[in-house]
Amino acid sequence: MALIHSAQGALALIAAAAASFLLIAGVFAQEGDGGEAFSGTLRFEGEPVAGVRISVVDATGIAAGKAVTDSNGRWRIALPGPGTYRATLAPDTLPEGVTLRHPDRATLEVTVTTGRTRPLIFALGEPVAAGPVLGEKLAQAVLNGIKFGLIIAMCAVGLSLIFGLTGLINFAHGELVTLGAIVAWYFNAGALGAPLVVASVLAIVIAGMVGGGVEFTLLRPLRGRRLGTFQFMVVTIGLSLLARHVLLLFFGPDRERYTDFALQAEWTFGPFAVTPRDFTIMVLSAAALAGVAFFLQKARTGKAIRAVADNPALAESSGIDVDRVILSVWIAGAALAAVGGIFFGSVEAVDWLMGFRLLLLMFAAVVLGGLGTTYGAMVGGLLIGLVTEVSTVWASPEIKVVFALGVLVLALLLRPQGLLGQRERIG
Amino acid sequence: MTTATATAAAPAPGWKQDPILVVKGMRRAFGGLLAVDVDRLEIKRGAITAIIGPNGAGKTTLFNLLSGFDRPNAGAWTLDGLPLSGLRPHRIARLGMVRTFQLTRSLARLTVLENVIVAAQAQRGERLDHALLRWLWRDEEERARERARLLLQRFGIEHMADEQAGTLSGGQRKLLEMARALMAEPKLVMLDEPTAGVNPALTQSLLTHIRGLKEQGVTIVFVEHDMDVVQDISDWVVVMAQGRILTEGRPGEVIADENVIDAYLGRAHTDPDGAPPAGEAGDA
Amino acid sequence: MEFDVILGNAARAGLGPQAAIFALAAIGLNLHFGYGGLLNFGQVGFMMLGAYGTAITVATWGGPLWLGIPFGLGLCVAFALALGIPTLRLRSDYFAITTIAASEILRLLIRASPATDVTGGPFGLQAIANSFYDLNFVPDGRYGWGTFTYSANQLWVMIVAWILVAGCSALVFALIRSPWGRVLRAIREDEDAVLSLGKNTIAYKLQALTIGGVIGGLAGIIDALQQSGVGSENFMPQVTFFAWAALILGGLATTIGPVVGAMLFWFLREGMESFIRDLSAQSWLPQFLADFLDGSEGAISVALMGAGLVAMMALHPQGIFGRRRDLHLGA
Repeated sequence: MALIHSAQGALALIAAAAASFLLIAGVFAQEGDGGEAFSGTLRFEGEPVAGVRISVVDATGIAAGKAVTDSNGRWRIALPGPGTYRATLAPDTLPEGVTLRHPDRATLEVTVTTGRTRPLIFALGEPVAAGPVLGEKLAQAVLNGIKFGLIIAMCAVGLSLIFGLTGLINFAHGELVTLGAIVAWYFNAGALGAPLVVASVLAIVIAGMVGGGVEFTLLRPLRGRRLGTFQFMVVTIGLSLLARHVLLLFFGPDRERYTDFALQAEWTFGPFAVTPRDFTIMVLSAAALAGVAFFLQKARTGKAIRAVADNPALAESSGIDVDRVILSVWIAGAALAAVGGIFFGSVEAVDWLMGFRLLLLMFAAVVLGGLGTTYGAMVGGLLIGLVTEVSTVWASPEIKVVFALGVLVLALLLRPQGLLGQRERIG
Repeated sequence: MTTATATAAAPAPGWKQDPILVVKGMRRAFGGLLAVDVDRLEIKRGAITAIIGPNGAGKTTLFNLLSGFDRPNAGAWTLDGLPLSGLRPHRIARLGMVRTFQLTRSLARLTVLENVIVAAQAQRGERLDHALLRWLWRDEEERARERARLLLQRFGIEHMADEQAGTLSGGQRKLLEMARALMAEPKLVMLDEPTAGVNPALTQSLLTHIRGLKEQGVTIVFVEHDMDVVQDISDWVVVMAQGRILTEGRPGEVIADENVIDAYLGRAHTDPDGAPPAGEAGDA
Repeated sequence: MEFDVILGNAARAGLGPQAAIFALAAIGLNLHFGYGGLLNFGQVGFMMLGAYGTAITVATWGGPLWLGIPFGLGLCVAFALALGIPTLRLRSDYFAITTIAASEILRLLIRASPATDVTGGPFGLQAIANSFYDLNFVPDGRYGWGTFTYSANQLWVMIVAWILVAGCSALVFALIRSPWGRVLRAIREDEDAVLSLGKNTIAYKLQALTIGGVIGGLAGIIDALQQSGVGSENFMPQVTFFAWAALILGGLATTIGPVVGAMLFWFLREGMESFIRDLSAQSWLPQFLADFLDGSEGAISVALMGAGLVAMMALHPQGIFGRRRDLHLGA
């Protein structure tokens, strides 16, 4: 009977989740404008420049299209499909006295994803000396790395805590990230037009409730039956497939942005340049992580969490309500993941796969720091963020994730227990 | 054979003229805690040696180190003169030193018979390149199966041979684990608390088997808490406390030793709740 | 509703090349996890290496197909060793995470534009299977009834693929019943215990990883032949999850489980998609619902498969052919 009840509970949860998304989705506007394209506007000292020829070849060097700027300086080239292309502005077609600001950047190599129109900027004006020097690029990459690292760390803390408490690798953790980002987008840009702060609070609360709901109605009843770690892993894989594709159904395949952030002027500190938005995100992320650390060290629930992670049986016998501790970690972990998703969506864009892509980086962070060690997840996240971004100074950004995952494999070879993990005792 | 001296700390001359296992300067630290710190330990061939000591004395850690499951920070040990340092556990087992575990490790979804057969050494069919060539290992497999059946018979669990090992009771698992260790035809068996969690009737039968092993010429080292068991079957007792060897000697002498009573029995006596004695806690 | 159309589509998928490909991938996973306890979440990496090794030999280097296939399988062996030697001594959860990460690294490297000259980058490689279809002895034409119809080339792929499925099933069956397989199953139960009995457990795990990976590589090669090309988007991490779903559906550590599981997986998935397509064309359906369903059948069916996995773990975790008792003994 218990079996049937919990299954009903699980199905009811799934149905409720699906129904709520149906409601949300009904209001989502359909978007997407078909084929892939490059477009842009050429201006010189504020005036449009007409009659300039721009041509595009694909990665194999085959011509993919060309255009000449119109009287408004505008141009557009439709592309045969997603992929990487090289767009070249023919400098000899520029009017007398008009030059490229960076003569070495008459050809741009750009990747286009499905259904997107990529704006390309050929800057015209007085030629300037070469681009930023290595030091500046490095400083910028480090700053970006810290920013992404903090976001990854925040997403990974919940993953690590849940693993530490229950030994479960939660493959659906990435979908909590996506859920937070998409729900915030819905309240912000999609429907209500609420300020991002308000939308975020709503999204965080909803994500926390979903995380807690999954634990309370599905995982807790299943723990009561003798299922192995593997069966739980499969449950989270199923949840991840379900949630991801439900999100796809109602959000669509496109990338979207929040409305609050127009272009912002950058603040510069020495070699570092940062927009107020990114600065805020970094400060808030660091504060949230510090809060988690403080909570684990000082608060009663935090201490209970550490006790359960250490030895569940002992914790149980000393009067700690283990189920309650696990539930609170699910709620908090999901809420943190949602925050991470909203920040990531602000920095980049919101899309249905963002959480799953981040999941691999979270895994890397968690293993790098030592599976199940919370501070390890934080350190690991920062390191992964740094490696990912700093690699772009030298390597193509397309493969920056490869460096992160490469660091992971290397770390496993050199220090398998993770940076902060301890060597296990056997027997 | 020998005349026992008054102090158990200095073993009788003549005892251990022919050690099978020699340990020198073995140290293992976890964090700041020295879990094992053994200057010298010799195990006499063909005898039953008990290792006793309070919880956290380092007995199981010593087993893990000797069997290659854990690596010492320093030290060397030899089996029949062969150095074992740095060898992985399976190499040590192949040299004839087989251990059991404190918590039984039955292979739950294999049958009881398979559990025993799997311990047979140097089976050709266990090599991947021979696995599909049945005629190469059919006879060998048949012999191993026969031997395994005989062992199960000897340990009185033959009627369970075709059941999955996960269905055995705790005591039966201890018997199975011992049968499995014997299937490997070891020179030296290390038993980690062979009677823990076993009912008294089964304990007697286990002890009979251990004595039977000795008669076959197998050397036995075992960790034990039950002093009656130690008195009953061991030829030699090594007392550990806080990672060191406190003293060693014949069972009667050691148990009468003041130091042992202080370090082990005495403390256990003054600590009725069974909490670890002072100085023992901390590495968990 | 045209149930004959839906049933025909479902049956075509359940017996078609995709089902055979996933059966092979699942047979490999079954050797890994069902018998060896190795949590491989990067099976798609092996499939990708098999497919790309073959395709690169043919399309990039202009070599013959009969050389491309062993090259692809050789890459699988190399991947198994590179993956296994550093990680197989770690706890199984570390292994799981590393395998999923490593296969995704591979995919990103393969699709990166600097690799375009070799792998075709984001564009993939095409026209690799001509010499395979030259061997096709099935006369031209369509075979079957209604929507349950295959072309001569599809039939040819299916014949080869299902023969491979049968062969690999037999291979795994024989291996598992040999003393080698007994040691492998023992390692699944308790590696330390087997180590203490003098078996080099890491060598066994590495061998199992390699064999199961090569079987996964065969799956990738069939996929490349079937499509006569390769593309990195066919090797997303969720391919591994689908292979796992097929294996779990059929039942772990059974011979027939991965095969029937893969057939059923594709039968259900295509049946659902076809049903939703058909449903969205029904005139009695409210317009907004029809609009919603139209074109969404892929996402809906995957979402339902996910829900199905959850429900199965809750209600019948041993799959069709597995034994419930084994689950408890193993836990």
